[in-house]
Amino acid sequence: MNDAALAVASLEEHEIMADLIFLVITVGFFAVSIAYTHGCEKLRGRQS
Amino acid sequence: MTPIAILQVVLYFGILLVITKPLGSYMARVFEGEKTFLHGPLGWLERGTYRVLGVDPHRDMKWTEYATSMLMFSLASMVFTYGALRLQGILPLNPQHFGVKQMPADLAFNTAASFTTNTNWQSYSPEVTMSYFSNMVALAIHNWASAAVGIAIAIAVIRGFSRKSADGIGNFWADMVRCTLYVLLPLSFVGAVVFLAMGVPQNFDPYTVVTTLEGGKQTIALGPVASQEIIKQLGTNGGGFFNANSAHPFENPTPLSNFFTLVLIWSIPGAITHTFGKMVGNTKQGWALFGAMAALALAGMIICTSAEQAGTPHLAAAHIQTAATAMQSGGNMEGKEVRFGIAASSLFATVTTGASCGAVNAMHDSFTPIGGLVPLFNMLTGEVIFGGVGAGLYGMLMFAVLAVFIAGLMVGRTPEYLGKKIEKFEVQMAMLATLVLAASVLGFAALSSTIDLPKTGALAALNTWPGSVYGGADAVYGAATGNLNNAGPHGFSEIFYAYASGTGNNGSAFAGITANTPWYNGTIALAALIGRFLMIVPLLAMAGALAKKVHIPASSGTFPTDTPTFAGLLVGVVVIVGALTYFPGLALGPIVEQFQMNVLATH
Repeated sequence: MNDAALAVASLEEHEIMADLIFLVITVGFFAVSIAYTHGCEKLRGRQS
Repeated sequence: MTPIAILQVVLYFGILLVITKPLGSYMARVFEGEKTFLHGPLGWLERGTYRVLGVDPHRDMKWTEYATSMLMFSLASMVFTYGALRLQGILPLNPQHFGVKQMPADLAFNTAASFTTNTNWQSYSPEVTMSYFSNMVALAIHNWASAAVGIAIAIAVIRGFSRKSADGIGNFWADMVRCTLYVLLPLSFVGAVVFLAMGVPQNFDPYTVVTTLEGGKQTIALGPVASQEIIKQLGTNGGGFFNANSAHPFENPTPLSNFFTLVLIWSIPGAITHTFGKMVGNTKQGWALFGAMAALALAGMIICTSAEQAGTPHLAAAHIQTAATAMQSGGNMEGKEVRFGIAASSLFATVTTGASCGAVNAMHDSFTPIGGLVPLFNMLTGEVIFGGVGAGLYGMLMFAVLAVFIAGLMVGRTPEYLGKKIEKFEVQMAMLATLVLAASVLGFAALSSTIDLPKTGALAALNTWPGSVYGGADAVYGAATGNLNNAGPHGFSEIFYAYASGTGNNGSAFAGITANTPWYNGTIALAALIGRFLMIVPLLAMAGALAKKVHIPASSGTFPTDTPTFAGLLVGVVVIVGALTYFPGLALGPIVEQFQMNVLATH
C-alpha cells in the first residue's frame, strides 16, 4: 500500500470513527431521556 | 417609533387576531377527532396511514408511553437525517456534487440535532454545503415532523388540564398524523403558491452563472425554495435555503412577502391559544394566555424598534442623519436590508425570536445593544412569546402553573388552575423544565467563555474551522473565545446568544461567531437536544398527573385565571423568572455594552 492509499484509508477510518462517536452520543442522549421519563414517573408514583 | 412602524405593528396584531379564532377552533376540532371540511378529501389518507403504521388512533396513551413514542420517533428521524447528510454525495438531486467533504461528522450531528429539535441553527452555508436532496428530504422532513411534534405535545399538555380522572393524554401517532394532514399540509400548500406568486423560485436547475455589469462572473444559487420557505416559516423552523436567510431576495422578495412571512410565523402559535380555550371549555382562558403573550411581544417590539430608530451616539457624532425622513430610514441601518428598513427589520427580529422561528431578515449582531437585548431576552423567556408551534403554548402553561402557585402562596390557599389542584409534583415538574433551560444556556455559555482548547496536536481539531473545504485555509482557534469577531461584552453576547438560541430551539444567529467547528457544533447540538426533550418530558409528566385528577368546581376562593389580572400576573412571572435567572448574563453582555457605548461616545 502506498502513502496515498494509507492516507485515504486513515481518512476513512477517521470518518467512520467520527460517525460512531456521534451515533453513540445520539443514542446515549435519547437513552438518558427515556430514563429521565421513568424517573419522573417514579417520583410521581412516590407522591401519589 | 415612526408612524409606519406603529401602523405595521397595529396591522400585524389586527391580522393575527382575525386568524386566531377560526384557525384555533379548526385545530381544536382536528385534535378532538371531529370531522372538518378536509376529512372528505384527506380522510382516506389518514385512515391509510394508520393502517400502514398499525396504529389505533382511539387508543389513549399514558404520558410515559406518549413521551417514549415521541423520543423514539425523534431518535429515528435524527439518525436518518444524519445518515442522509453524510451520504449526500451518492444520493440523487445533487447537481453541485456536494459530498462528505462539505458535511463532516460534527456538522452533520449539529444539523441533524438542530432540525430534529425545530431549532434549525445553521453552522453551514446552504449554497456551498447542501444538495437539493439534503434540503428537500433530510432537512425538510424535520420542518414538518418537528413542527408536528411541538403541536402534538402542546395538545397532550392541554388534555392534561381538560380531562378528568383519565389515565391517558391522547395518542402520539394520531396527533402527529392529524397535525400533518389537516393543519400543516393544507396551509403549506396554499402558502407555497402565495410565495411563488410573490416571486420565490421553485426549480431543480443547477446554479446559474451570469456575467455582471463589470464583466465578472457570478454564480446565482437556485433550487426548490418556495416549498421550503413556507414550512420554514409556518412551522417556526427558520432554517434558510440560502445563507442570508430571509434577507435573501429569493426567500423574501418584497416588503409584502416580509409581512406575509411575519403573519405565518405567529399564525399557529397565536391560534393554538384559542385551541386551548376551546379544549378546556372556556375560550377566555385562551385569550388570557394570548393577552399575556401579546403584552410581552408588544413591549419587545416597542423597545427594539425605538432603540434601532434612535441609532447610536457614534452615528450622531459623525453627523450622520439618524432621524427618519421621506427618503431614508434614519437610525441604525447597519446589517439591515434597505428593502425593509428599520421598522420591518425590528419587527421581524422580535417576532422570529419570540416564536422560536430563527429566520432572520437582518443581522442581529449589528443591532444596538438594547435592540439586540430584545431578541436575546425573548429567547431567554423559554420562547413563550407566542413561541414555537406548540412549544410556545406548553412553555406558557408551565409559567401559568408557576403563576397560580405563587398566587396561592400569597393568599394562603392551595393553588388551582382550570379546576385542577396544583400540588407538589406539578410545581416540581414546572421548575425542573425551567431549570433545565437555565442550566443549559448558562452552563454552555460559561464553558465556551472560559475553555482554552489546545492549538496544536490532535485536539487542536476540536476548535478548527475547515476553511480548506471552501477554497481557503483552515483556522485553528484554540480558546472558544477565539472564534468571536468581537472582544468584550459584545463578544460575550455572541456566545450567550448562540446557546440561548440553541437551548430555546430558536436557531437564529447573532452572527459574529465562527460556529462551524467541532466544539461549537457539538455543544450547540447538545444545547438544542437538552432544551427540547429534557423540557418536554417534565411537562408531559405534569400533564399525565393532572389528567388523573378530579375536577374541583370553582368557589369564591378560586383565583380566576381568565382575566386581565391573571394575564398581568403571568407576564410578571415570565419577566421575573427571566430577569432573575439571566440578569447576570444580560448585564455582562448588552447592558454593559450600552453603558460602554454611551461613555465612549462622550469621550
